Amino acid sequence: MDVVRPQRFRQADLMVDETDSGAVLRYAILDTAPEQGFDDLTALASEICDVPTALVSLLDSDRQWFKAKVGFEPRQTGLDSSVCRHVVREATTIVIPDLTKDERTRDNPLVTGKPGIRFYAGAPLATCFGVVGALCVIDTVPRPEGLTLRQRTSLERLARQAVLLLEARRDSMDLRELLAAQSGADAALSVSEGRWRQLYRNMDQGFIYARALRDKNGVIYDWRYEDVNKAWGSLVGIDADFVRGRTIREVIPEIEEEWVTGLARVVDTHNPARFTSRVGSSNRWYDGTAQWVGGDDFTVIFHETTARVEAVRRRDALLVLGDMIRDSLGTADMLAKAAEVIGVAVDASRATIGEFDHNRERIAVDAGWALPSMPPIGGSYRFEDYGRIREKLVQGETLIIEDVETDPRTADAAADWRALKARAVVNIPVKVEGRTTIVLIVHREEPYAWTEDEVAFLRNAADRLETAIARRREEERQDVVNKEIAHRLKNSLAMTQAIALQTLRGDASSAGLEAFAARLQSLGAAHDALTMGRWKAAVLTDVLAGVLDSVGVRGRCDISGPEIAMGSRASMSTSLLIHELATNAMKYGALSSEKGRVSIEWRVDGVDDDGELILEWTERGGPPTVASTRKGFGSRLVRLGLVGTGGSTVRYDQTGLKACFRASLSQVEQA
Amino acid sequence: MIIGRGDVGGSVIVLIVEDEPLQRLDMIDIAEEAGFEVLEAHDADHAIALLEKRTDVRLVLTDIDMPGAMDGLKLAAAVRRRWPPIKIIVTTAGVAPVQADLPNGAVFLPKPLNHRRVIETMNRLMA
Repeated sequence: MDVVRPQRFRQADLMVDETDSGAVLRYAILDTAPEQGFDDLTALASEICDVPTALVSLLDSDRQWFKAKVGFEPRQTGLDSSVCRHVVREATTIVIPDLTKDERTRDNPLVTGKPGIRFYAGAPLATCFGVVGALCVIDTVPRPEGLTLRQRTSLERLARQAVLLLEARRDSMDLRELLAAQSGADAALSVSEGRWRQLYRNMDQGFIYARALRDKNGVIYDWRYEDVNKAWGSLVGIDADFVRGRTIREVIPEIEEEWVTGLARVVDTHNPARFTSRVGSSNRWYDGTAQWVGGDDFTVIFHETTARVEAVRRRDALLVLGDMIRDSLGTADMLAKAAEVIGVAVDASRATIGEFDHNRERIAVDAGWALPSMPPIGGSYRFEDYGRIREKLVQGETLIIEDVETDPRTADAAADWRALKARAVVNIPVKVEGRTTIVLIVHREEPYAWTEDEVAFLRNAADRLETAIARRREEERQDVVNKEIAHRLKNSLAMTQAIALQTLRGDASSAGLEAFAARLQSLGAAHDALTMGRWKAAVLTDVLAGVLDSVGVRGRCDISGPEIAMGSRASMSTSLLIHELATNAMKYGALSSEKGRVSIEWRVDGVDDDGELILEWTERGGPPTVASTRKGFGSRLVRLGLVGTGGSTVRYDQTGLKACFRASLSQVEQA
Repeated sequence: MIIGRGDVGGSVIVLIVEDEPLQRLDMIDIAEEAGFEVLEAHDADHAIALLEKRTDVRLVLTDIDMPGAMDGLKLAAAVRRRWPPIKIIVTTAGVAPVQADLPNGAVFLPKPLNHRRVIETMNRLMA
């Protein structure tokens, strides 16, 4: 017997949710009326933590639903709006002082739109089946100090109380169920055979009356169906008349061991056993209870939960997709992985993405993902070869085909479909900028009636892909623009250099002209670093490398420090500064002698707005240095420091020049 | 030992290919300062025509972005194919080309050009 968990995700190593996603269903609490006990907990939580809002949030397959709430209107929200899902996933208390600054939450609609929540703290509702939700407190103003230790501990205590309430509700449900089942069994003894059958035969749930079979050592090795009801037949898909008197191993030879000995074990333990399990051969999921009724006899009451389990699987797939798209910006690699997540979630044989070519008669199909048994699909295809499907797709309509051999749109072209081993097909066109450009393509090897839920899931997944693809396109376009801007800027610098040198030739010293040209070159290097950072920010390491490269001494400098993003202004001034120091070191300092080296180290002191970048330039192995008496442009640049506002100290030691520059991080980052 | 033409009397001849006249002037100055003799071309076709007439060019310094069917990278590839002994320096104000786009042994220098590095590179390639 498997536990409820999307097995194939785990195998594909894509499963991020370590909790039992179906766990909340065991409590049958979703969409029930408010209860005093839970209301009291949220009231206490909001008082203790001094916030306007407190919620008991439970995670369903496609939403979070609130069993209790203070200071919050909706009874439920979509998962995209859920901060609690992070508590569930991480299975630990989470405190986020400012939701706009946390990458998990800054795009959350409740943060970006109304009511504009800012502070969040949530403690997990950890049940024996897994984390099912969170008790959380929320405020619309940030709270940099978070919760006090006492508040945090109290919140966690209240969360444990909420779990106790959940368990208490479930126990009382169990009791009712147990009584109902026992009255069924008791009835068997007290009323006539016919009336007893009447009783359980009309139940909606599947019912089995069974007898455990023991070997000569008394060990249970099988069990026999003494009787089953009508519902059993439809739930399991086997004729009820056929099964009576046969053992489960005879009826379903490949049955999992847990269905045999796991269930029959109740005749030894006398304790009822609840289960949520899958019959592998039919891939259907069941939820139910087995209990001992005396001797070696036991009963099983169960219902099918395949749809719910599948829904949970698809919810997880959407979450994985969302995270992938957020993390990897729509790269080709991401699209291949996304295809796998999508394909696995609907038990497809193949999933991939196709792109309309310009005249839209053909489609360029990505290799995507497929089961090993499927032929590769990557390549360009003519719509015409595959029946009458193009028109609808161009118009943006979803194409759903149960069997390409019989569907009137594709039957004439069945041979081409057969070559792809595609029998059942879903194609979902995605519109980018109002035009259908991308198609999500999903195939099955066998004919299959796609369910509404599956198609809805695929549409949802396609929408998310669209977001990623649109973003990738936007970035590609931006990249081209950035490169063009950089090209023109640097060309202007080259022109300026040429004009200045031609104009000043004869009027200025050649050393002066050379210094002028070299400074222009260091500005060019700064532009390169900024282009790499898409003109929003350059990385300090790149800025330094560019300048040191342009004067040809990079190999003699040791650069180390954390990654610092620099705005364009700081990139320019820092480039000029480092250029001055480097050329000075080449003329008079450590780099003027063969063995001399320069170390450039930086660090950040303080956090957030108080953060300060400290960069130290240390020369070693050169001649002793003395302060220059010239107050030229170079020494002025050095005095201006990293961002042009000073903060520099220069010492001339016996071992070489030492310079230290300080600048506030916020100025460094400023564009 | 094979003695190259540059070694027997006369100076080494450099072909400078740049569409922008002011920058071309600047590049000519650099090469002449370093003691090279200079030929100039305003685009790749012009450069090819010169190379077909002259057999004494030892080094080509070319911009990448130039009007015409052939840009500097295509010119560099053509030079390497048709006149393998000629050394090549490529420059641009745009994005630096990846190594794979440069012919074997060609050197890239970014714009604005650092005069000293250009001279050093020329001397090294001619050494």
